[in-house]
Amino acid sequence: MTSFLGLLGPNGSGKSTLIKLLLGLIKSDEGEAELGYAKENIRMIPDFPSLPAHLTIAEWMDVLEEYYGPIPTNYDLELEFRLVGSWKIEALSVGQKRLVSLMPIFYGRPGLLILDEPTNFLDLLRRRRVLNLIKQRIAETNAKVIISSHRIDEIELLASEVIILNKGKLATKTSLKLDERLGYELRVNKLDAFTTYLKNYGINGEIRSTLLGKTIHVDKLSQELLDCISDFNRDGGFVFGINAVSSLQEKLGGL
Amino acid sequence: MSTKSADNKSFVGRLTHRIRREQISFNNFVLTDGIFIALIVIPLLGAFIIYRIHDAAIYMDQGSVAVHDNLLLSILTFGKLTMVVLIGYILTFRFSKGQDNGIYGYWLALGLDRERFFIYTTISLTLFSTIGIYAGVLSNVLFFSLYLPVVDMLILFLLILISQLFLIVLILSLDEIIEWSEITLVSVLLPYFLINSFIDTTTLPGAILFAENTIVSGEWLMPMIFQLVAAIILFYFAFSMHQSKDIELGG
Repeated sequence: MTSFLGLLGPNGSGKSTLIKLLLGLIKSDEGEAELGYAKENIRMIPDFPSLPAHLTIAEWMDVLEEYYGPIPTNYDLELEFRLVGSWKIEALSVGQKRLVSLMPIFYGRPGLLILDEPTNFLDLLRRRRVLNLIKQRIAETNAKVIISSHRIDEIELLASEVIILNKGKLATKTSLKLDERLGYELRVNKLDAFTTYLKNYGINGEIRSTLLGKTIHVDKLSQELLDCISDFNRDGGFVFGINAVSSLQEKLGGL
Repeated sequence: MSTKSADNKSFVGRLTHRIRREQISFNNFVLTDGIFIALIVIPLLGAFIIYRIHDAAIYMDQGSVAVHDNLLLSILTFGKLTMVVLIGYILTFRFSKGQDNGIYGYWLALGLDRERFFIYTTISLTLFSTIGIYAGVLSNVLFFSLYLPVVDMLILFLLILISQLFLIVLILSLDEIIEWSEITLVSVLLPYFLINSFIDTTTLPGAILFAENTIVSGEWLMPMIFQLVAAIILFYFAFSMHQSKDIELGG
């Protein structure tokens, strides 16, 4: 059983339908779906929430407090999200509405978070801040997570297992756990020179073409690799980044 | 403080706590924009206006039962038709449309219990609309000269209560069958307004839809029983349909 489950798939693949099924909003043709949590311990953030437009943000926060219990004192959501309590929800921008819709996560003590495209409509800076807050909240509450997103980086950040849906069916599933990584991609400024350095240290490195350009693929992170990078840097080379390669990318490529 | 009162408080507290989510969602989804006030105020104001229309006849003939009955019938009929329009609107254009446009689905996603909310909505609307109509009658009894014995007042309260429950579950049932809210609303408004305009309310269809009016003739028992049985059957039907219905999530 996984604690952090990601749902991936193209538009119309059935991600939102699966979430509606889990919440009991629609009935299954056969079989049963059960989450195993009391309703008050679940926080569901839909991709397009129909917020009560006639309320102000402060009134909405009162509703959430009545629903789930108080917000922990270390969160000041109005400050974090740069919102003012007296603003009416109907007058907010799409991005601000998305922030308001994320507020339930921070009330009470959730046991399960279901996030459907949680950072839709957010600008880059706000998105990073929101993801950090969500991560912090998950760590505090030990909540389990089901996240549906088109963004692979979000899935990788919040999920440890991923199921990929296609045309309403389970296409494949994979793990994102660190110990199940398929290798690492290094982005460097002098590709050929770095390959020579790797050979000198007895490390197998393979040049691959990726979306980010040409990278060097190594199987694992080791002390030898770190020493090799250190020598490379000393001689004027530069490593821009090291990305872990998960089986998710491999599986997506195979679809 | 006595132990008894503390126990009472805790019972009320527990009851209120148990239905708190339904109450919040109901106030922010179904009964928004002052509709609650309209449910109480319109029948009450209507009763005052109706009294003003009838008062000359009452003063001229203090002892005539027919004049008092006419005033009572006018208040009840006005109250009933007001509730048909208001509750028809609330249930079709708020509750039903909310199930299609994602508003109701969002409340359910927040953790609202579908079955409990359906029951809460039915009971709340029944009580509020009953209080609205009854307040109109009561105001005429207390402040003006409408004559109504205490026993009749109690029977009338029961009649209005069951009649309102029947109206609400009738709309809910039709709404589960008919796809379009507009057609549901028209199919509820038409029989009530047509019967009121063209058919004597003492006839069988009149007695069914305007059961509270039978208080005047004294033949209220059968319409009351009929409405209660019909209301229970319709409620069971609407509740079952609502349980298995697919609800949209998100706008």
